[in-house]
Amino acid sequence: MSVTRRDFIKTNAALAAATAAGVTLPGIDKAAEADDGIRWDKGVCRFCGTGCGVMVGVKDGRVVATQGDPDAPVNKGLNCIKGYFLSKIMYGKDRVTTPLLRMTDGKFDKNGEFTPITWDQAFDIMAEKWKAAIDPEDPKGATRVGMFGSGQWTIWEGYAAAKFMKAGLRSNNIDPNARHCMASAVGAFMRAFGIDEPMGCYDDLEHADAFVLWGANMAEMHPILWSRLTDTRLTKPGCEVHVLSTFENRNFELADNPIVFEPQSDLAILNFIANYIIQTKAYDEDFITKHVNFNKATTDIGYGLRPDHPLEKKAKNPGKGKFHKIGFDEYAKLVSEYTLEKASKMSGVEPEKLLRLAKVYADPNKKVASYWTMGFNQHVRGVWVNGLLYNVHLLMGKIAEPGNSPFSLTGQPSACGTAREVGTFAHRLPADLVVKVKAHRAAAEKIWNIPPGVIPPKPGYHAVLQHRMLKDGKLNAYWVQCTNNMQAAPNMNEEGYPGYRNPANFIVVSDPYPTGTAVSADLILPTAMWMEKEGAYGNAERRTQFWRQQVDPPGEAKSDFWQVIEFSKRFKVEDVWPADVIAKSGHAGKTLYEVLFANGQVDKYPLTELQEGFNNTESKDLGFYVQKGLYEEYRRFQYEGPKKGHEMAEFEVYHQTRGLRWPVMGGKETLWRYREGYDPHVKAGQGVRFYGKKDGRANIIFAPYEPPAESPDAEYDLWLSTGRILEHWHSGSMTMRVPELYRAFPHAVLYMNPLDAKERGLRRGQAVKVQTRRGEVETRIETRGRNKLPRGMVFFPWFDVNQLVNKLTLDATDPLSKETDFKKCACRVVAA
Amino acid sequence: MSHPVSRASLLRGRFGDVHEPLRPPWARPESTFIDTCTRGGDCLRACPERIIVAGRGGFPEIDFRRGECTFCRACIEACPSGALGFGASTEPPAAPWMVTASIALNCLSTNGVTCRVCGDCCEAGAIRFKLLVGGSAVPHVDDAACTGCGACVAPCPVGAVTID
Repeated sequence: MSVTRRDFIKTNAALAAATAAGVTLPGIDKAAEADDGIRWDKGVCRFCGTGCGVMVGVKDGRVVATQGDPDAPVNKGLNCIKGYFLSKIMYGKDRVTTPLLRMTDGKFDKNGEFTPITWDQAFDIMAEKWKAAIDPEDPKGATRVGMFGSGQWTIWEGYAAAKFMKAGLRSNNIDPNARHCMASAVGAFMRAFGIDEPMGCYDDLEHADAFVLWGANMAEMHPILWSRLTDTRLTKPGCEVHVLSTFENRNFELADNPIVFEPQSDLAILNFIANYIIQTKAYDEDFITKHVNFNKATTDIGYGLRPDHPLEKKAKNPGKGKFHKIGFDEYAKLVSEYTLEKASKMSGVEPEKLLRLAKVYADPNKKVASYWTMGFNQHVRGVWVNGLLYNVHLLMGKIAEPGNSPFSLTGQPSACGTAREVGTFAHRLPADLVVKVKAHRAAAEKIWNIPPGVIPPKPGYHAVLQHRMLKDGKLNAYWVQCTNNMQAAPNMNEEGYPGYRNPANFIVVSDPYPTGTAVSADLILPTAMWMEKEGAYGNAERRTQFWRQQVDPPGEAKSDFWQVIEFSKRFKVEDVWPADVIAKSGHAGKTLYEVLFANGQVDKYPLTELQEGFNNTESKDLGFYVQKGLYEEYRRFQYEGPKKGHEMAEFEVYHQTRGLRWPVMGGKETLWRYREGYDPHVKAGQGVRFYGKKDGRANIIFAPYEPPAESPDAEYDLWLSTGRILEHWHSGSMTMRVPELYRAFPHAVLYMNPLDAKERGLRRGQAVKVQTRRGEVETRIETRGRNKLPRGMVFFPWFDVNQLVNKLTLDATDPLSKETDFKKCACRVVAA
Repeated sequence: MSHPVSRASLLRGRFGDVHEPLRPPWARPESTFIDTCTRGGDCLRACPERIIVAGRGGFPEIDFRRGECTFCRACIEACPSGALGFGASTEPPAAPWMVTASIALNCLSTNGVTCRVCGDCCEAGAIRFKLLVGGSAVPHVDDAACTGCGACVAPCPVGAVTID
């Protein structure tokens, strides 16, 4: 953009005024290009999984402005309101700048006051507590220590933490907050395709003829992708948008076929569509003959609650994920039960609307892109419902090609790139490997140069189980990084908070801000965030993006992976590994730091390779280019591991590009996987090959409707759904500290149908109590605005630390993915 | 800039025209109001939303950065001087005032940044966004529907909304 002198003077005058008034104006960042005092460099947005490129402007050691990166293919210069104010997220007045330990009279006291200490003191007490919880000779590994991480960790942060836990401490008790967010999507990817993450990409937003939203509020949660979708809808003749949700949200503005359905009935609707496709013989016979296996799921699988819960006792096959091969005819018979009448009755949706939806999928000439986020994933049958949508796409062969795209949107900036790809889940290892499989453990042990038998074969405690184990006193030394899980996790009153405050446990939280989670802990570690470190994120379309450290962190704050690597110096292998394993290792007497990080791989790249003009705090502290070392070691999994299809380019390439979508082979990214001509792993003549499965075929897996864990009844008469809003991101720990965003939406409100409010004698704005069997929270009623609720349902955003919505929620999960259903429990609303 | 910005306006984030202050709803015409109002502050204290402030010369005026007007008439009932009120009539005129919202060009949404704050808080549904090709959604104020309640002023992250 060219800026004339006149424009520049005008904008600078506005800028001066805006600065005085504490507001930021659009357009000024662009003009600031002309100001030599600001250094601009490429970065990635800190918030959702869209992965927008942002230009970051730094002056006098401070990020002073950001703007949508016009060269970023994801957002082409656009921003949402959160991204627009990115420059302010690091400068909240209450940054934690020194380690803080709960102390009384100079000693640790679980009920003491937070007192500043040094990093040395912090690691001293952590090492003491960790070592007390670890028995090196325990054949099960270290089950009493644990870590909770994040889809907001940079790629190397997740990798370093997973390696430290699994290869160092011999503990699989590491899980990311992505468990609350993406685990159901992962489960379904693995079952259907054998490889995680979508086959398509954002380019489908321009290629599709029809869009279907299944429980994704894209307009608010992925606004940039929504504006790309809007463009297509407004410019492509015949393009249509179908929106399915349990309440009317902002997407309905653009909906050609608006559908509000009864919670959980998406299972029935999807089976009806499959049935319709079969009944009308619309399916792609050639495709299913060549590329698909038919299966049916084990049913009556419970709700992932504690084993003594009546619902678990009642379930015939609690937690069973096995599915069995069947023929097409049997599959056809199973879905035949789901007639239009039945689906309409169960969902409360007019038959014409369901028929219109089914016809879009069944039309061989319409390219359909389906999107979902938490509506599908936070679902007690989340893996099933993800799978049922794949069934529909696979029946039609509408998959893995431009415009035909079942696409799982992610909620966090690196839920894919970090949480899923580098092995931070309790059951996973880097690059799609899992701890259960001996060959996978062996491959990891070989790349990591650690002796066989270090990595425990049993999956560790997942997110929800970690809180239960803390409460039960079976998990005692616990480290939370880069996430606000006290506020985010379900059933805080009965599980989370009692777990943190259990006197048997020592809880450490690394965070830039004193979040609800941090202040519930025993030790808070001050953490460098976002542009205060060189980082990398992987977005929802498999795009890996890097940025350089733009500014220095405040005070004593250090990045998450610096903390992990420094802490590893506190352990000798003798503290954590069995004697017989050490004997065969050649690592006797070494620290975990020497074994895991100064191992000839991670410390391979000298400081001379750092980019001039940019600081790199961690590398300078450690004496080697640590980000590059971690990344290049991780990359070995992609080339030497037992699973192909996850290849990435060399480190430097990502500093030079606006990201690339893996697999990257020969410098070329992959837009559509499994399809000849796009995916280098599909050989000439194969056409389509789902190479994640040995026979190259994807799985269609039938699963029936099963009811939610808790539904409204006479006592608790309303559905409660939680979720996010446009202006705030997740728990609000960053966005609530940006004055403009705070002002825009200062307090959470309870969205309610006006007639439901009237029936209870409540009016808009009135203070009310929302009550469930787990707890109560005070808020105010909103009967207008962006969300229009149907009768019998309320929606309560969870960003507000003063209204802890997760005191209300039930920790029922999908028993397969262990992901909580935050969208369905029963509540009542009374005047406060 | 075509209009000089006073230091006070600058510090208050007012960059546009310098306007006459907005008096409480159903205030008498400005000259009558100034002649009648005793500056006793009863309306300030009566306002449940606390949006009436003592402005220049101690005369009450509305500050929408503090909140919105619900047209509850508490200020009128509290006014001893008759500066606020319906004059000889016992019934209020249909409109409490003639002001409506206007949205300046620095609006985020107009500039391609996804934001709908003003529309979301508009109870009257007077602010609507038109989805445009290219990613922006331009707000339109329906002057006939806008009550001038000011609910859209404070939440705007860039101070683009004024009531005049």
